[in-house]
Amino acid sequence: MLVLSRKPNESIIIGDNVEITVVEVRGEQVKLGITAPREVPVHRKEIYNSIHDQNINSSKNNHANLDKLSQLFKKKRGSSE
Amino acid sequence: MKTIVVQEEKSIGTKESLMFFPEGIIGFSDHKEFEIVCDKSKEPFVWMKSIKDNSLAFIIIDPKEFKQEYNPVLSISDKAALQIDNLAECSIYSLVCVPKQSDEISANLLAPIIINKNTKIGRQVILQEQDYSVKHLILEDMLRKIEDTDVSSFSQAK
Repeated sequence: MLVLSRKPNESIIIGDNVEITVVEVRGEQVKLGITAPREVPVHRKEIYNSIHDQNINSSKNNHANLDKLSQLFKKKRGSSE
Repeated sequence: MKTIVVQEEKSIGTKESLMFFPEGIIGFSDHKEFEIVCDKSKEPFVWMKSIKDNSLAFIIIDPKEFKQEYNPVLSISDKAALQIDNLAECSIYSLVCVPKQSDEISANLLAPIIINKNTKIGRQVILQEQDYSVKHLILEDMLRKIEDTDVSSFSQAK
């Protein structure tokens, strides 16, 4: 990991079109401003990680359970009509 | 090694079912093309399979199957990436997680799959400032929804 020190209002440029600016430092909290092309998603890491993990879980589905659930819903639909 | 046995697998149709994800999906950024495949034995769940690697397959579902009032609000950058002005131009799916405990089946409402119906460009968006869950339990909601569609059977419920 590259570690750089910045003061408020100083920036870092990543590649050609991503810029991160230290907007404010207050106690333990650092406010960062991000300028990036519109299509580049920017997210807090812990949220990104939770979605990443859940995506991996979604790719490893228990097929037997899926079949069971599908049958359950079809049966319920059938009996509700 | 895992063997997947698929019965009655049917693509909706090659052109219609192929989706392009310029940024892949989160954690799978090099999988940029997916096919949506219907499998009768899995209804109402649907497969989203990677073209690059067919063994990568997600289960997705239309969130209306369990939540009528799901209102994702897209950011400006998501709308720009999808080239849409409003959500009516899109199909919305939730990624489903089916664990060993089948009653813990959940859908990711915080990061839905949004697909531009015309261009077939898709993206997994992360909703900002909306309090949806990554693991929204759906079993009860789905069963209740089926019951609610028939008012007379609901009134006969024990």
